[in-house]
Parts: sequence; C-alpha cells; structure tokens
Amino acid sequence: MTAPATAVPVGEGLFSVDPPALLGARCRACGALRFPVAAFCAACQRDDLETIRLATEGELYVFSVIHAPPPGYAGEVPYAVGIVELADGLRVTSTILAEELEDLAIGDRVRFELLPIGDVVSYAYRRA
Amino acid sequence: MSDVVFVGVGMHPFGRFDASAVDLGVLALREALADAGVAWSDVDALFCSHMYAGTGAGHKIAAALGYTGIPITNLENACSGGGAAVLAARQALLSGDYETVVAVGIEKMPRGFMDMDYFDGWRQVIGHAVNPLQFAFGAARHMHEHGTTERQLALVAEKNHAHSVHNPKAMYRREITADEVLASRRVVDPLRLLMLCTPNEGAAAAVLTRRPAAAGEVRLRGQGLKTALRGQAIGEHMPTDSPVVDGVEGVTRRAAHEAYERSGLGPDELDLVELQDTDSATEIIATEELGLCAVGEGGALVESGATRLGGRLPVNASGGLLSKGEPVGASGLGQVYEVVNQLRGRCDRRQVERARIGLTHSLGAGGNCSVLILEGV
Repeated sequence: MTAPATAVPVGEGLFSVDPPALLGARCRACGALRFPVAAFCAACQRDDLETIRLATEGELYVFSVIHAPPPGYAGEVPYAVGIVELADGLRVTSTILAEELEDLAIGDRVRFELLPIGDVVSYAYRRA
Repeated sequence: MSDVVFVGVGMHPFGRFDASAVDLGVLALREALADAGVAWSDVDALFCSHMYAGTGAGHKIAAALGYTGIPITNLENACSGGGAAVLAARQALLSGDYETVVAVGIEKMPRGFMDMDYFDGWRQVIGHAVNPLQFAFGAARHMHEHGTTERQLALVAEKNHAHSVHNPKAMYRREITADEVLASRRVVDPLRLLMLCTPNEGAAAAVLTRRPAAAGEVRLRGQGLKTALRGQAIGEHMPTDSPVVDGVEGVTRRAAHEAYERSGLGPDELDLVELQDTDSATEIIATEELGLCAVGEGGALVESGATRLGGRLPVNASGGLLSKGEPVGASGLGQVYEVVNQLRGRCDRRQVERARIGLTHSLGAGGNCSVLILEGV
C-alpha cells in the first residue's frame, strides 16, 4: 500500500517509506540488532550503530486478534497484532493484516507494508 | 537465627467502592495492625505499593493514622508491587535499623483495558498498547507448542471461581462453568472475557517484624525478585523486539528458582500456591514455570483436579485474581494475606488441610516477577 504523501509516520526511527521497510539499529562492534533504531547498543553498551532496513518478509511467530479498542488506538476493531520472526534474527511486534483474520495461523509467511491508521502512517506485515 | 515474621495481615475486599485508594489502605492497615496486636505508634517504617494513587499515597495513609514521623517509601512495580513492598520491608528489617515495619498495597483502577503510560505514545496510537495482548501471545504459543485446549483454559476460570464462593473478600463469588467461560465474548484471541481478570479496587497490608518465629506464626522462608531477560520474546516487559534465541528462561522460572534456592525447599514441599492468574493461560504457564508440573503439562494439571481445593496442591484457593479482580498495587499483598491466613488455619471453607508451606507469585509490567515462600512454624 502506498501512503499518502502528506501522511506523517507515527514515530521516528520505525520505518522508511521509500522503500517501505522497518528500520533497525545494528551494532558495528557486536552485531546486535534492535527495533526501533536506538542511540547505543544495549548488548555491549557501545555507541557505534548503523541504521539498516530490516527484512520485508518473515514468519508469524504468534498473533492475537483483538476485539476491543485499547486506550489511545486510532484504528478499527477487530485487528491483529503479532510477533514476526525475520531472517535478520529479530522478532518484532507488528500489526498483522490478512484478507481473513480468522484464517491466520502461526507459521504463516508475511510481507511488510505501510498502514495508514487515523491520520498517521504505521507499519504492518500482511499474510502473503 | 532471626526470622522475618508476618505478625499480622489485613485486607479490604477487592471490588468497586466509593472510598479512595488511600481510604481502603487505611482500613486494610488498621486490620493488619489489630491482627498483629501492634500499635501504629510502634511501626518503624511503611512501604506502600500502588500504580494509580498519585503523589505520596503512603504518606497520606500514615497521615490518616497519625503523624509519627517514620520513613515512608512509595513503590511502583505494577502488578508485582505487593511482592516488591514485602521484599523492601524484609530488607529494612534485615538492615537492623527497624524492629517493626508495614507493607501496604492499594489501588483504584479505571474499568476496561489498563491505560498504561508504560507504552510509548506511538504504540498506543497503533493499537499495540494492549496490556492483555502478552497473555494472549502466551496462550497462543502454549496451545501451538503443547496442544493446550480452550477447554483447559476455561477450566482454570471454573476452578478459581468455585474457590471464590468461600472467600467473602472476592469481587465475584459465584460458580462459573467452563461452558459459560467458553460462551463469553472474545477479547484478545484466544482469551475470552471470563478468562481474564478484572482491574478493580482494593487494599491489603502486612505487619512484619524480625525475631525468631514462635509456634503458630508465619515466617518468610525464601524469596525471589527478577526481571525479564532480552530474548524472552513474550512477557510483561511487552517488548517491541527480541532476538531469535531459544531456551531463554522466563522470568517466573528464574524468580522461582531463586526463591527455592533461598528457602532450601522445592515445589514438592508446597501445600498451596497463590499465583498470578491475570488470565487462564498465565496460570497454566505459571504452574509449569513454578515447577508444579512438567513443561507442557499445565493444561493436563488443571484438568486432573490436582490444583482444586481438596486436590494434591490447591492453586488460588482464594479464587485468584480471576475472582478477586486485580487492583495491581494490592494484589501481591492480597496473595500474602491469603497464604498467611491459610498457614494459620483461618480460612474456613476454603482452608487447605494441614497447610504448612505456601508460595505467592506475582508478575508485573516491565517484566517483573516476585515469588515468596512462607512457612507456618
């Protein structure tokens, strides 16, 4: 999905719009990865980090379909949130999209896309 | 050798009330002092756990009881605050600076999903700030890996509600069948409304002192307080990310290990357990992580009836959080209230026979876990 040109990302250091991908921080010293980007490495405490794009494909490690809107949420219910396991060696919490949320299953292949929520742009992985 | 002795406990019922959290705390603490036979003027320090009660809540409790000039510390450790207050009280006693201290937990919470500033603003906007989501993740992975069934989840709620009928301080005091649980509305799949505890209001307190425990008294036998490790993918630290590694021990297992080591006791020696049943799945998983059964057998354990009152090892004889509700700052001390009274044989129709050793377990936001092992002397 292409985000409207005027839409604002919901947070800094979460994802790039072009190309669409999650952003992560990789420690040049120890190789540890984090999402979202960070100022220093929480594994070795060094400051030498580079911002990288994380894998745009992954596998659904776990998910839940949520039926009641939590405080502050700008989107609609029901919706799904899960943890996606990326080939980078990182598990990230993400909104999960699918034609039919009821058919989602652990182990499903998913692909990154941008997701407008309210008047901001967020991120999701969609069941392939 | 000197013991940390629970000389008195008190609890305001958990539910919904007009009174403020501080008012509830005053009532619980006065009950604990009366139970202990200790005068307020003889208390040397106060520790107050809460999450929503605002500035100086413990100080306001002390002011209501009378300004005695003692040191007062407020603690915020979310759902495991009560356990943390007890551990702070223990450390104060062991420092040798104080003879008698009190721990009081209070809370008054909004209805529905917890509105937690633990989550960054962007996580709230996109709907990731769902407190029970982590419980749903835990449930879903457990079902996937071990074949745990929805009915087993429902049986946890059925069991704890059956216990609550005998607890006058629980919020919900009627039997609820597994079928009713399975017919309740979906909230965070696979968890349904009656598989989740209710955030509510209440207070509980304990009076502790340091001396050799006398016959009939309850002493702290061991304790563990831990937080989650990076690599624990699912838990109350509710991470945005975690590295793909397997075999990272969950925080409950690590806290329990510490408590067992310090007490010199093992799970086979427990007579009762009050654990964090924020939801049915967390009870099933905690029974495994506390070592009450093997990994993957928590569902079968509840099904077997072993954890019912009258079973081999009753779990949540009080009705648990599923029946009492969970006023987060107070719930850990509510567990202490139950276990102390069980070990003194004061629990009437929910009394666990010949109870001598009891364990409490609370989990909280940030990935906190506290485990206490209490012994009736």
